[in-house]
Amino acid sequence: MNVENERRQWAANLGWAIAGALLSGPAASRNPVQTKPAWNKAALPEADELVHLLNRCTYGITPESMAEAESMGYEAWVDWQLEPELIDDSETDAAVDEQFPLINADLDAMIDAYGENEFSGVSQIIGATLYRMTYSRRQLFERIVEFWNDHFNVYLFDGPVRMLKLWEDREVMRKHALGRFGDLLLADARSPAMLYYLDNFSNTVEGPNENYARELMELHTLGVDGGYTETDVLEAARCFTGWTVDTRNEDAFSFVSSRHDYDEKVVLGVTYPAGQGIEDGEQLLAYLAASETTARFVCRKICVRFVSDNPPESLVETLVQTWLDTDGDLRQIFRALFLSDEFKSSQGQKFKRPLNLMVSMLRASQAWVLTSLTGMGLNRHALITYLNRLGQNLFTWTTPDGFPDTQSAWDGSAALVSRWNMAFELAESAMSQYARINPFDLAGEANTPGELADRLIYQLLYRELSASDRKRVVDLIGEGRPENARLPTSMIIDKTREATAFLLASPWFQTY
Amino acid sequence: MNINRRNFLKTSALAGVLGASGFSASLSAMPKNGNGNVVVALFLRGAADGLSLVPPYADNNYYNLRPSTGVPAPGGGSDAAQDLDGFFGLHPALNQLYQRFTAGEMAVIHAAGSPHDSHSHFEAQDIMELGIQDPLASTQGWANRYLELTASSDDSLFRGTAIGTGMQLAMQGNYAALGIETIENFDLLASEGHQDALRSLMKATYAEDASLSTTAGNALDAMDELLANDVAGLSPQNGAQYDENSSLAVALMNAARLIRAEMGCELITVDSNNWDHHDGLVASINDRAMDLDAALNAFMVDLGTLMDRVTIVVMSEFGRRAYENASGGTDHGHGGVMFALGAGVQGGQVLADWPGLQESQLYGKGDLQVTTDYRAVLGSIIEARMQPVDLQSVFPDYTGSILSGLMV
Repeated sequence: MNVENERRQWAANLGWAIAGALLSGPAASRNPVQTKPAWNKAALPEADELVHLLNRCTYGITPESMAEAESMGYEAWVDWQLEPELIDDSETDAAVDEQFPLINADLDAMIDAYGENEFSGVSQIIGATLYRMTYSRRQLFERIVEFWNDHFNVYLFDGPVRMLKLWEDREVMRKHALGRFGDLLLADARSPAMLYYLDNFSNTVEGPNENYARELMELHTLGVDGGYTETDVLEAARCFTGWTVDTRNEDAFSFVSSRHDYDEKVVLGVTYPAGQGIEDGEQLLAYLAASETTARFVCRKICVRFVSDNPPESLVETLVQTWLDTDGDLRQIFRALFLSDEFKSSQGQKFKRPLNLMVSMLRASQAWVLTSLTGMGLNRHALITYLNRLGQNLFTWTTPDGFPDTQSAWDGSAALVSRWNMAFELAESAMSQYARINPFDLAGEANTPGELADRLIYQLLYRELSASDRKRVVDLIGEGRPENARLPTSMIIDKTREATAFLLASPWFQTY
Repeated sequence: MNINRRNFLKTSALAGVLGASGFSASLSAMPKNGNGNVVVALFLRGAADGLSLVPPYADNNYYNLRPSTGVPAPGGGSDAAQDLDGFFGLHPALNQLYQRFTAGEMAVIHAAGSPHDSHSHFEAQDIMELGIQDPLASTQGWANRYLELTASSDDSLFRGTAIGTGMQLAMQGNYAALGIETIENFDLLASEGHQDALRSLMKATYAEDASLSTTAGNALDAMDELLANDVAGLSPQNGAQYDENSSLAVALMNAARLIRAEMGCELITVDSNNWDHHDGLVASINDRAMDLDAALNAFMVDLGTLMDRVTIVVMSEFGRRAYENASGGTDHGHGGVMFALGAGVQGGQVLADWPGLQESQLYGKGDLQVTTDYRAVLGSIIEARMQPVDLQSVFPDYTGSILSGLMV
């Protein structure tokens, strides 16, 4: 204590000139596009529009999904996928019911199961979500549900969130994913998982807890630069006093009036008069949902997920206008997004996040996956090991901002190596107990290096490679043989594994 | 190592900057990690509560603000703080670090942090890792900026190493730092017969990828070097015990292997997560402090005499509100605590220009003030331990001074 901080001045005179160059010159790379072009169009021919659409709106193209899209056409496919309730997905639904019975259980049953084993819900929500991403015909719906689960992130291993997340995924995210943003926001504010995770369950008049109120404005609605102040955070927290969890209620929500602060509050210039109860929070949520600042923040985030790390402002504004015209009708907003020219011309600008990369590998290679592992056994699943290693096991992002969306968060060398190895182990049968490809199916009738290369390139990438890149694949398979030389049968299977390993680990599979 | 692979200057503008700073001519004489010293920067994510880790037990207001969560003054039983200097104590779970403190190996810097007003974890972490106050002014982290400013053509691939699943923002930027999760997993797992062909195809195709070529090329080369040095075969020394279930312990164990194997590390970043205690502060910070204590101690035991070259600095995005909330937790605050350990640190002292905890002395809505900028701490460590660099260029908008008295 009482240490004198004798401070020396830095040699500022010399420094400032250099500092200026660093902050304003090209070296500062303010625009990541400039230093990190994600797509080298000269090196790789573009895929067609429908392939681009399916790459972004599904967890990977399968022969079936491609056939569906080809028969419907671009716009009809978008509309079909945006009405998931009308898509017959009974096989997936039945499998989920059978393998993950807690997913559609009522709250009482979930709580009983939690009482018996607090981890019983964890493997079911992870397993069911992976199952749906891999096999559901409602592919775009699953992608949009993932977006909202990230936007309203809770950490699965935070106490009772281990079970409450199952209820939240179904009753908040899935129920409102394509409804109105205001309804989604209100449902999330009342969600027991969120109430617990961001501590609003203990936010009372005697002792406000501002955690939820802050993240509500910073992450769910206005954004960190959305114009609110520290005072707004404290006042908003007072609006939500008394909002808590009560598992005796059907939706596990309770407004406890004795814990509510009935004095006047002022948030963002709006007065919430003294004497109001639950209306304080409800009106604040409605205000935030109707705010153009919220519309712009959320629409930009949607564009960053589905279009580009640096989405065109014109597209963001189109979506904001749709939002304002339709009172935040998410189905209309997503429709406007996928039909926009900006979306159609954004090919190759997104780096796949690890979860998306993994599922797209499984779907592209039509891999067999062990899906029935539940309980603690799930932790041993090789695919879960990879997701953990890559930092994206489902629902395990600990902080409320959700898994990051942009390339720089995922493309370090540690991650790249694991991305490659996931492809190698899948294709080389090194995780065959958990997931494996079928090289016979993948090879089909191909007999020559040229045929096999073209077949694998098409099925795994759904696009053409440049002539020189194609030749690399042909040479890998043929080991110097002419591309039309007949390969020994024994070699075809081995080379199918090797070329599949390469293509799934190649730079062409990392972006989309 | 060659300059093409390293791509250490991605833009020509930076060459000018280096030239202007006037020391580039001497760089070629440097060994591959500068002077051989290592700095490990550990980030406690979630805003660690400095008032619990280092309670100012003799400040009359402390227990008024923390009636149910304050750490008892020394002598108050097994839950009580361990006395540091008659005014500050150390959390009881930081038991091994207390021994380090009394042995003169650790210093505490209190009321420290970033002067930026942000109470957002994410913005504040970005600001701290960028080393500047405007998060939109640059996308380059402070560690990366240091590495770039002191880069040389024969730099080790491992000179800047980020340990973890993702790369810390402090390490992101023009200089191609390496990211490693664990050394065991940093290898190509193709089958024996396919290894060579796949490796060379990966090298060839990634070399042509505009955004991934440097990272991929460095990763493939770094793998070769790890194998050649059998780094995965190195086990902890001196009886060090790392908890394999602790991500921090595993990260530090791997850092120790890289240092022992002389891979050329100069700056290493590691993370400790889950420091956000809005409720149940007493139990949760005890758990986090135990993890921090055990992991750091294991690292220092493991390295043994190699610690003569290694300095550790611990920081967090901000501290927590001075008064506790009704959930037995604390909300987002401002000033926090930092630790410096190891080589060159004048340990056994708490450096604090203590601002006090009276209502009139608190910042904003009731936070501890920041009286020591975290860049004063980092700056003094860089100056004392690392290569000569213009600190103003590492922290371009910082106008303060370095913290004297911290380093030898």
